[in-house]
Amino acid sequence: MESSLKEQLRALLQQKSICHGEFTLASGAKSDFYVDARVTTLDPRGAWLIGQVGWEVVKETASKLGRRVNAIGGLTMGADPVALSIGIAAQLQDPSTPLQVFTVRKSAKEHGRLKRIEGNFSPGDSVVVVDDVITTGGSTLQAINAVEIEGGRVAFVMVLVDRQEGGREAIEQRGHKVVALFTRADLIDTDAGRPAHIAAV
Amino acid sequence: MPDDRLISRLFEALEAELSQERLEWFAEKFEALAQDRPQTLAFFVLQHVCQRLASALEGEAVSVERFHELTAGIADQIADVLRDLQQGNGGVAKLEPLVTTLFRNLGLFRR
Repeated sequence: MESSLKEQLRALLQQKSICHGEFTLASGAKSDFYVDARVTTLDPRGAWLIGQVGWEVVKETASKLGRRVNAIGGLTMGADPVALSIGIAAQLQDPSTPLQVFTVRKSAKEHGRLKRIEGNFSPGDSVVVVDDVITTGGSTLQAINAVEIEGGRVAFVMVLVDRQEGGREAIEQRGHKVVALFTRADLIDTDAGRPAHIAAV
Repeated sequence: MPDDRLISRLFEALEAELSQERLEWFAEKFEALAQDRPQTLAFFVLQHVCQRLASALEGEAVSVERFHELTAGIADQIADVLRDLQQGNGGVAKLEPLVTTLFRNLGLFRR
């Protein structure tokens, strides 16, 4: 894949999604930056780039791990545009791909079929659990739990941005490999004037 | 209301600073208590207060200052309601000030 696609995605994230200031995160932790990933994941250009870069990473990781993957999804709503972008890219590049897309509710429906997972998911599926940002890993672990409870198998986890605050370790302790398209270090210039290096996908 | 382990855990958790994730946890526990205990209304209101505040915090770049505005007084008032319930009172009298605080913090009052 053209490495420039990943560079373009990084530039878009830096331009649209990185906010500097003093913030309180979902976990209650304080931070001097906030990643508002949705303005990138819901930007048509951003969604296209996430699809292209993400699908390459899914294929490469599945191949390395020797795992088949037939569905992708995560906890609504952060994961939704990421999963769908990758699903569309997969379909465009290879119409025979079995990759389907699903979404995980934050809590099960109280009526009807009491489903926690909506969309294209079946027990026995081998899935990539995605998220837009991981901090403590809480929302990703919720999605993993839902997939496992409903009979799916997690092939690996992919995130758009890893804030490098323990989330990856928490997920890996559960036995799931985590692949991040970008880390905090990729997006935040700690050394003024020197852009972070991004390895080509 | 029996002083069981869940209620003790709730009191302990209320002593720490609130967060979106902690509010979602409280909402889940209050929902269960509303279904399991006789004080359905009080726990139902507590669940909605926590859920509403968690929703306000979700997916936002919440500055530290704004976070303190949004959560000011909430944990103390929830603890007051729980204490009232523990003492065998219905907790209802303490619910109105709690909801008032929530609406004031969220800037929802139109009067």
